[in-house]
Amino acid sequence: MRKYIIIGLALVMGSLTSCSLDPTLADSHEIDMEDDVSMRQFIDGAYNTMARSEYMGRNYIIAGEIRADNVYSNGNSGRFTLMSAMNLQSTDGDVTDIFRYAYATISNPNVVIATDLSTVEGSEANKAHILGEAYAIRAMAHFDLLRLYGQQYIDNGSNLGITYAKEYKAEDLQIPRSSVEDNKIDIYADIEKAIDYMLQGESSEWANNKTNFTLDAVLALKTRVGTYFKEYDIVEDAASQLEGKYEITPANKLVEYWSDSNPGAASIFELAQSTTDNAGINGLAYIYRGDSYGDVQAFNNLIEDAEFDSDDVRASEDMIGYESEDSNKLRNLGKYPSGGDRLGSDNIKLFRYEEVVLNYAEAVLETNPNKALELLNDLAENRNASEYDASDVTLENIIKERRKELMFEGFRFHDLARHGLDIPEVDPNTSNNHGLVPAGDNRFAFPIPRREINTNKSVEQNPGY
Amino acid sequence: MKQKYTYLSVLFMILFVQISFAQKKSVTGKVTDPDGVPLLGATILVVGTTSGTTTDFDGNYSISAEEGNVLEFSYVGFETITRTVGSSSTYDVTLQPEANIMDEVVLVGYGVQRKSEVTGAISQVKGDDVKNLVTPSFESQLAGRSSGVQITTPGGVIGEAPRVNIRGIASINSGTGPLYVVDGVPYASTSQGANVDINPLADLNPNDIESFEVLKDGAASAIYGSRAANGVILITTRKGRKNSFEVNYSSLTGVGSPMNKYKLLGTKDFITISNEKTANAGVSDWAAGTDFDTDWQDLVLRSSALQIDQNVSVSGGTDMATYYLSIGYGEQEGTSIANEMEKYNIRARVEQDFNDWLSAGATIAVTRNSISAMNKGNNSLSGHMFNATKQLPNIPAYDPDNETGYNITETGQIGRWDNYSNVGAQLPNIMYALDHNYYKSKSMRNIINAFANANILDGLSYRFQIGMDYGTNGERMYWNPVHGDGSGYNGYLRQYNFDNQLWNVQNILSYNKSFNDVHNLGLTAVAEFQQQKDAYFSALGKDIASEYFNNQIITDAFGEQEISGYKEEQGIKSFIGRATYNYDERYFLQASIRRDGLSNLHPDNRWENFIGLSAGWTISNEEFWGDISETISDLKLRGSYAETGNTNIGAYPYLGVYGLNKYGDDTGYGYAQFGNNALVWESTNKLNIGLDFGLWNNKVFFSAEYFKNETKDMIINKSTAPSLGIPGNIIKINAGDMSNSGFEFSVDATVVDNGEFRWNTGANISFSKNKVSNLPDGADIFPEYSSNASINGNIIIREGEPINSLYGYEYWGVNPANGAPVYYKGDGSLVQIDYNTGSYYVFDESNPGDMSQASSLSSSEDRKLLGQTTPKYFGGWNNTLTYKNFDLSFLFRFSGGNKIFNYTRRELLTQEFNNNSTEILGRWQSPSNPGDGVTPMLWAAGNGVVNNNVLTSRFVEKGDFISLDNITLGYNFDRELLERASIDALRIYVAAQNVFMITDYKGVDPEMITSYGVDAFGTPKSRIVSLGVNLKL
Repeated sequence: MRKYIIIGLALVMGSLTSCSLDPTLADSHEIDMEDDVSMRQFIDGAYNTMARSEYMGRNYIIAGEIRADNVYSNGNSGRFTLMSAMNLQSTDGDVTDIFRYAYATISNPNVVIATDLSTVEGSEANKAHILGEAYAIRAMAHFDLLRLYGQQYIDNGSNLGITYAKEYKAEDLQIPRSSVEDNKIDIYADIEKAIDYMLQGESSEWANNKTNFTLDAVLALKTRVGTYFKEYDIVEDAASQLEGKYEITPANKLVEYWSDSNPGAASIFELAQSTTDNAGINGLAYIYRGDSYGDVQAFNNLIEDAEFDSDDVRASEDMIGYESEDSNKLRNLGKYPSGGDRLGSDNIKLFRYEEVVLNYAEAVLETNPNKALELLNDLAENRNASEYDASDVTLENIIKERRKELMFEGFRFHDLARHGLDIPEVDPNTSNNHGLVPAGDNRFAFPIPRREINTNKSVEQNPGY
Repeated sequence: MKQKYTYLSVLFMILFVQISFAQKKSVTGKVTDPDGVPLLGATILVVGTTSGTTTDFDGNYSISAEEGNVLEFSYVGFETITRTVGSSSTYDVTLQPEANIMDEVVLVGYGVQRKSEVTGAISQVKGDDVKNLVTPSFESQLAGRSSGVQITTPGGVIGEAPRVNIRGIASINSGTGPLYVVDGVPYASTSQGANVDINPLADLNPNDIESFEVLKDGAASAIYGSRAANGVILITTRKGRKNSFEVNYSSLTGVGSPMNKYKLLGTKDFITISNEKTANAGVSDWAAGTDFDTDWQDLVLRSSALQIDQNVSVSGGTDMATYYLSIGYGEQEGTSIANEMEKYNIRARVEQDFNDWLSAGATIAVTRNSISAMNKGNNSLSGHMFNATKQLPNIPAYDPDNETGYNITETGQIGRWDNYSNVGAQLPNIMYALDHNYYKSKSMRNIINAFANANILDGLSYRFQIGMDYGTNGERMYWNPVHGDGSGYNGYLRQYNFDNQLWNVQNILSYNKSFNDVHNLGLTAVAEFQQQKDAYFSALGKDIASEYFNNQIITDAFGEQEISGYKEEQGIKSFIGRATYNYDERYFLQASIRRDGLSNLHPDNRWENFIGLSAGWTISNEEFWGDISETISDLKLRGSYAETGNTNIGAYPYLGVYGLNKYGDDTGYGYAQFGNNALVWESTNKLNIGLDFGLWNNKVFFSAEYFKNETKDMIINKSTAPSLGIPGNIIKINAGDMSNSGFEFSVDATVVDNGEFRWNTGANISFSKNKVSNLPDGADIFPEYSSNASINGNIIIREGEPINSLYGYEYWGVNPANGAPVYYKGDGSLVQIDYNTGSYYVFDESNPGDMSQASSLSSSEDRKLLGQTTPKYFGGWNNTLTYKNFDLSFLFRFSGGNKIFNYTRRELLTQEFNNNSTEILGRWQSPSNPGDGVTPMLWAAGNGVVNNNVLTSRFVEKGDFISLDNITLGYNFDRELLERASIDALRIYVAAQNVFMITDYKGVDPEMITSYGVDAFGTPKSRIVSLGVNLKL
């Protein structure tokens, strides 16, 4: 009897030793890009990172506005105060966050670029298109980083640009900052590759989808990059390919264009946001309006300062105005309007046709002023603004028109900076005021985050920090 | 009635014996303990015969014996005594508890040893020492009772787990809490909750605990090698005794009130200060209106928090079986008005001997724990202390004219009343939030253990045991749509379901044998397997259709819905061998080896061996010791070395992990973790040298220990350059080394014992030193412990320094000429800030008004180490005094040598339109009225210039304290009185906890800090006064 029980126990013991040490992973797995569908999901991961509030979901756009003459931080919730005052330090959260998430956006594209596509199943067009998107994302993120953390494009770009990340690995990689000129070369190279692959992928199911990079979106990016480096041939070439394919949003549709949750006719590329995937209170809607955050407020005399015509729809009270009758805070009301229960669910419009038109006009200003006039008036007509005469076709007016059209979308600071203009002081009585910042001031460039300096010994800090 | 019969029968027997038998007679009597309590089931043997009996419920016995026979009286836990039968037929015997603590049995992991045989460092705490105290969980009551064990209760929030560190902090990124083993089965001790703190250790009813053993050094814990880097706490629960029956009832009712509060401005000073801030900065006034003087702190804290604890246990046994059943109910209110707990415990245990070689048993324990809590974020607008301490005092919480009854506006703010500005940071009305939002958790824990034990051969036994630990937790969090956190979402309700399982199987083969009376050998072999599965899912609804649906997620009641969840698994396999040998109880040797495989690591690096060695020499058992033993009754030298590991490293630290992310309506992948297949075990090598020293039959007993624990291959989050785009900008590598070393001393003594008066005292002190000896590339680490960016960056882990040191600018004081703060630069020179520009200028003490020479204060060059956050010493002093029927016990505890970053203090000196602490009254006002010399001139919205957003030594304080943790006075009713009611014992007592604290610390409580030494808006602890009854039948 005794023997049997011991055998019995031993059997129980034996049966319980067979537990496996190999875990089953329920919520995460090693990347396995087996087909074009998983490639799609993987590149969508990059758009998701791009849409985070730390990058295009809010902070990058605000960084292009709040250091200029459209808006300032009233400090209501303590957000963007230092950026508004242009008093940044290398340890500031916003300085670190934009840097981190712009580079994080590049990770997935770098993995796609490094993948041997012959091992991936699925349609060749789809695969090529996604590869094109990967190059486009890499180009755009680096261009964005350069505009914020690099020096201005002067002296043939021999000054400090940014680190150009071309692979995804964590070994003791220490990539120094390239020159602005080298960044330019890399960005153009990525754009050209993107165009090549997009052309191969023209029949892809995503070739006409406005919530991912498409050939048109890459061309729009090319006009933006070209305008920044004042390489107007490139701009003209790219912009002319888009001409006629898109429409400028008519004046009576402008408010609707911004509040529509689907991309409108003028949209070339938007970052998708949905009711379940959005930045919520950390998005643009909540920082431009409301009393909870609502830190980013327009200067009181913005409409006069920007020289809007009286009937200009862009300055109508649906676009720029007051949230309530007793409010004295001038607000961006029209762009990124979603509030309430759909808070922050607007798509983030990254490339609109109107920007391409303005880039085009600037590009042909010297070489083909008539074309420039035609382009400018196309826009003015659709904004209920007075038309330009041939004698009005000046760079100054184009910069003014850009301010009116692209207001609150993150362009203003870069437009002043790339033309070597001072950042003017608008209203000395506002909080977090940067005052007049002369062109060439060290504060034009963000500091390289302390975190990067600490971990990447080969990186040099920007002057003045 | 029963008593009468007993007397009659005894009388009858005596008569009968006298008359009938002259030779063999019946001997009767009563066996009691020194207090006169009858001992049930004491054994009486006639030495040299097979005749024996046990005492009945009243301690009475009857046995037939001849004159000249020797009777042996024995009882577990008491000294055995003998009586020779003489002419008398009645022998009442009083047994003394086993006085020599060296004969006590201690648990050592997978077995027991006599204390005299132990060669490692083990501290034991009896369950009786800590019951009858109000505590959400048992471990907080171990504080101060054992050397080397530091237990910190970080505040008065019920559900928040105390921090337990045995011999310092042994890891940077991995777990630092000990392994808990209850009756031989590992006990899940990590919290499974989201927004409500729950402490899994609270699931164990303190009344069910017989004793605690703390295994501190490597030798003691090596048998748990792979999981013992942070020490092990073994818990033994109560069980029934053979041939006895016992009912215990205890009841306690207490009232708690905050031990201390933040000292804030009232309306009058508040208005002065607020408008001085604005006047200095040249902006218009903020504050006006003196209609109200609201003490928001009083509103959110309870002045009388009810504490109820009820326990009944029934236990006993027959010759072959024992049983124990207990039921507990507890209700505790926290210091915060929203914080309370309700708890039910049931525990049942049965053990049965089948025959002389086979026994088996099982335990079932079920706990139901309901907790209500609140937002307590240290940087959260609705964090109850953050909000209450910063809210304006000159506005009301309630407004009868508002339709809600609260002072709130339609646009979502708190009404500013007569003030010219809204409250800084738009703090909502915390009373509205506390009354309308809720944070609730209901957890259920089921533990089932079973074992079978077979004595196969003489000295050889086999034990099989299995433990199942299954816990669920349902959590609900609701934010009202009208005001506060939920207004941005138009209502927010989130529900979680956590599901956690752990099973553990052990096969233990042990062999114990003495040869020739001097060679004592013990061998143990164990095969152990454990698996753990943790999962949760959560449902979130925003945009609520009506507040009516705020109690539970209801189909289609929400405009927006989200779900989320995860699951993870971990497993460990272990094969263990241990040999102990001692020669004549003089020379002791122990060796153990353990081989573990851990699922958390890559298959190539999964298996690791851990060895432990120890030796001891009981000098006092040597023959040459002779007469010295009259004085020095015990002298023992111990030494040990062992390797231990840390398994608390996360489920998949080595894997390159990709998480899913939505992009619009599509699913995208994102990186979540960069993989590292080369990751190996994080391990700690522990060295311990100990000396035990007993005087006068161990009436005074000293222990001294030296230890050095060296943690190597720590799994460190190495920072990578953000430009590499690695998720979180970190990669996990084995890189760091760290050591903890120190001395520990303890003394236990019976100071007086003259029958009527007895005084036992125990004291311990530990000196501990932590040093980070190696970090990747020697680079400083700024750990991101907190979600609050104002706290991170001020804590540094630097090679050659203690873990988590404070790092910032050194503060000189206030410039008497202009009220500006003055700091030391890295080179020792002084700089001051210009309030208008935020720029720094050289400060010349002889010419303080001079602001001509530009300078700087750089976070990269001018910061320095401002102190260590780990205590250099800590300990406790525990006393128990009994006089006749009274007993008195009290415990003092102390700790010190650490520095605290008093973040709360800095925040309460805010220059925004918020309330301040009274410290601000000492500000610089003018050269003729320079204030306390520490607090600069005020400046509206100038936190950066006035207080600095980087840590400065101005907000670094010493954390030294002495506290009277508890004091209890009890009265035991006379036995004679109780006997008439058939009651064995009745005690009533009054107890006070958290009685007082002596400290120079300027905050509320120097213990109310994070594990990295930051005081960040903690919730004060309660001082609890309670009355209780212990009844035994």
